[in-house]
Amino acid sequence: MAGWRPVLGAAAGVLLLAGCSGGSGDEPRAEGTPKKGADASPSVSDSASPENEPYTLAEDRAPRTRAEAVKFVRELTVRPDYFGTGYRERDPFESDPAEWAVLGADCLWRRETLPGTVLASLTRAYELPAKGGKGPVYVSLTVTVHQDVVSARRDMAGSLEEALRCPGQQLNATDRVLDLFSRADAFADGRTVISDDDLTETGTWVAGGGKAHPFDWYKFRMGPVTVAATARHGAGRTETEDSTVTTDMGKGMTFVAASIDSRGRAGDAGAPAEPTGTKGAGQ
Amino acid sequence: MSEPLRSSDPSRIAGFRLLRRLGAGGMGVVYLGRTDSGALAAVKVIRGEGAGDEDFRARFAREVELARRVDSPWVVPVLDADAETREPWLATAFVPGPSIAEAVAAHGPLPSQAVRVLGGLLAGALDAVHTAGLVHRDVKPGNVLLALDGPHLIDFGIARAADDTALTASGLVVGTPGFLAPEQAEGQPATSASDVFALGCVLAYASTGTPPFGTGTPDALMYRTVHDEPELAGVEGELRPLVERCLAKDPAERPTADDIRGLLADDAPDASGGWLPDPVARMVAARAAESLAFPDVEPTVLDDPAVPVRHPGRRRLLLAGGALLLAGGGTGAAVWASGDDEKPAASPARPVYVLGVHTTAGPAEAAVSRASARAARLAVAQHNATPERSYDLKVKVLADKGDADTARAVARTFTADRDVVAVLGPVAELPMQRAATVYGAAGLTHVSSTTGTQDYFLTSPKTSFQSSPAHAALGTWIGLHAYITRQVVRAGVVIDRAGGPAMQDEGTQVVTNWRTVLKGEVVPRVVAEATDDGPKAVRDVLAAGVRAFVYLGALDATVRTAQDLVTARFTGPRWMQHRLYGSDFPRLAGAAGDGWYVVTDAVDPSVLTTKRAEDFTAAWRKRYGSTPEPYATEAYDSVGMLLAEFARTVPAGARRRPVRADLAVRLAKVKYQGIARTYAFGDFHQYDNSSTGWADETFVHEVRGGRFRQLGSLGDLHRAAESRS
Repeated sequence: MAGWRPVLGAAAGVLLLAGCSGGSGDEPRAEGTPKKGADASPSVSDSASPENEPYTLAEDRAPRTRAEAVKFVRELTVRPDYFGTGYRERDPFESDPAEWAVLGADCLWRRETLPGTVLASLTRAYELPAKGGKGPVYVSLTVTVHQDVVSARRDMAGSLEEALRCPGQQLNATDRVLDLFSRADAFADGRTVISDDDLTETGTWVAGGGKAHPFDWYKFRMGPVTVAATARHGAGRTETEDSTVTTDMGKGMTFVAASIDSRGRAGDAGAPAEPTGTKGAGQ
Repeated sequence: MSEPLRSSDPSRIAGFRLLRRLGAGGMGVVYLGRTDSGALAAVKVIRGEGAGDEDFRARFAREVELARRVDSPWVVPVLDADAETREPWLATAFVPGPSIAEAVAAHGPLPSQAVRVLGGLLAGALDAVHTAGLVHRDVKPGNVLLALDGPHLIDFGIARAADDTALTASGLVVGTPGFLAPEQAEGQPATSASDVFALGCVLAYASTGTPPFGTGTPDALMYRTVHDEPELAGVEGELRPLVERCLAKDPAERPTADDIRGLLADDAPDASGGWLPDPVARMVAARAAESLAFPDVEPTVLDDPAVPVRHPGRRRLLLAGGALLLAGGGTGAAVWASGDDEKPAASPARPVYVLGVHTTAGPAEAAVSRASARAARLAVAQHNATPERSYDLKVKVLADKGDADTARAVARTFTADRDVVAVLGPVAELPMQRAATVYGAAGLTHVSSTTGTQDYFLTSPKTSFQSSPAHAALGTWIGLHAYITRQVVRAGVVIDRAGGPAMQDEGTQVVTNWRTVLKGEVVPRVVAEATDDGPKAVRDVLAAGVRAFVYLGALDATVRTAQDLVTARFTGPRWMQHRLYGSDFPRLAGAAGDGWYVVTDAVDPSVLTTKRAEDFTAAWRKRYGSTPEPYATEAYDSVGMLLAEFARTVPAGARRRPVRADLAVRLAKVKYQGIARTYAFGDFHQYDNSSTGWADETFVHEVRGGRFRQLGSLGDLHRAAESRS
């Protein structure tokens, strides 16, 4: 037989592995994140729902105007230690909520004015400073309020499409993301998920001409709201330590998801979103 | 009954190696652990706001100290605890049995004699708790676990606080509404008499299947507890006046735990489980057998891999013997049972073993379910027609409903029946993922021939196998088909998420492979679920000037795409997702379907000319009156492989039974020659498509004239292309 077989044989082998393991580590990254459960967050209401219900936000409880949406994303508390001990806010900390990042046809990310289907989008930046021979970790967290659930669904599909359209993406002048691999788990498919729709992407990133390090990208959809986080790992970590960084980032996202979920259940979009630690339905 | 550890969980707490998660609540997580000597333990780790509180720690330490003094065989003993560590923890012995709540839910109320035994022993347990200076505060059906020797009371008084409260208008209440006493409902502290009230509720529940104050919201239950008389019409004989006394509104009128024990003392059971009704005893035995299969996770396991469970320990072996013997006493009939068949002629000389077929009910999986059941019946009939056989086989088909709970229930039914030696299935993705855990825990080998996601391996790395290829691999093979037929042109790939997660798995590989390996241009589109964006995505991709088309979506959306492509006068090559092979696509799409390809491992053996394929096709036609349907061949091969390897695990002496775990060890190393391909398993027990010759084992079907027609294997097509050039 001709030369294609070894090439494709090897490819299929790699792909099988990727399909099984989510790209790296011993288990899928989706499994590495905390599932919705009683220990997921200090703000989770234990009596809220059985474990197999995802975090969500009902469309009729979500912000409806740009002003409400900006208030919603600004009031959402996202503490640095959600992502693990030692994290702190970066400077600048928050983006302009009237803009969001768009991946161009040239596979370059740019900030642009929000389209009509998006009410607000706020990105916050965090870092775990370099320490003890381990390079810094940069985490960014973006909460976006779409005008309705359908728009949010389209945004999720768009995110999956981006990884296929641009397996290499230029984040900014120096940072480049490579070899993105996506996995999608939707509650509607009966998968074990945290939100209505969980996307996980893993790849590597390089700064300047430097060495490649792990890059994680998670995105949850809760009704018309999407929450996305990226982690750019620094040098000097073992595979296990990198895996902990990823898991901790997923935990932080879960805290945010829980806050949004409980705000929706409380039915008061104007209420402070600070996790209170109190329990029971009557809080 | 448990789930795997998460990566955020510790692997060890003090002397306990953690194996599984048993549950989680607001106060923390309960793990299944194992001591260095091999005993199983439930390890409760306190997390959250209480853990750091000095008052909490002091109370926790005091209650642990008291609990250690509780001396009763019917109270689960405290093995160890630490109140001083950052996350205080408490380890108790692990009882694998179901709770009264589970047993009653599954098999209905208990007979009155069993309730009397329950009452006597639980009263003894409570008396020991009260004598030690503790009040349980949450006696309820979920906190009484059933074992063959008697009931075991768990979760007494310790490390329960805010998470077990019911918040009502009258304030915080510790306990479970419907089982807590009126004084607790009114916010007064629980006393030993409150535990007696709860015991009365548990006995009424066990007798009738419903709590004496009914069901409903906590507020309603507590109101009724305080103001209404209990409903005890279903409580029989002498038990009734006793339960009535336990449920007296005034705590002073209730008997003590010791009084109740004295009244029911003549009903002590032996350790055989005879006090329980048969179906419950089998449930208890099945749980015990499952727990024996919980893995040891010593990091230094280098022993013979043929010994799957290390350090069984004499006590555990004895327990296993008892449990398995009892489990073999009968087979629990699941509500989904579609019936046994192929009962071989009774022959006292030969044992009869059962091949399980785990299918899924409902239209979506009807075709693969039917093909799997038919394939198993044919293979078993052929075995039973062999004169020199040393045992007979029969087929038992059970269908889940495509969800996690029923999938696990089917697996539990199979694993509890010790005559079941191997299982074909599950046939659907979610059941495969969820039921694998049950099969793995029980050491029962199963092979799924119709799924393509490998996450089963995470929870069941020993006995779960998949003989169908990964969705991702089939995505790669679409590209290979294009390559050997010289159709690598600018391609549009539409991934329609409404088709399920396999669309993303398959589509990602189509795109990546087309671009990076075949060096072709590709235009990807992902369509959001629950939208009507598919047709627009198709138009966009066509507008981008593509000359080949891959649409990965559900059946109806693919049919519509076929029609849209005809309307757009698109004549380039077109591929659909692999799981539509065997679907109604040819009929529904009509002429618009002509020319669509599907690339799959599923073979149509009726057009092959090998002797094995011809014999199989003839046998199928004779039995079922048609040629083998799609996926029948792979199911038949998988059964053939299971039965061939099972035969090698059957001991020569007729009196000894084969060991379940031996089959998985053999299967992991198997190389089995099926009708149209060789089966071997990779590191994740998946179909290993990297072995040589797999191109001859992957088939291209083209829709033509209203049906799928097999063009040949990728190898056939490649050789044909070479000979032409």
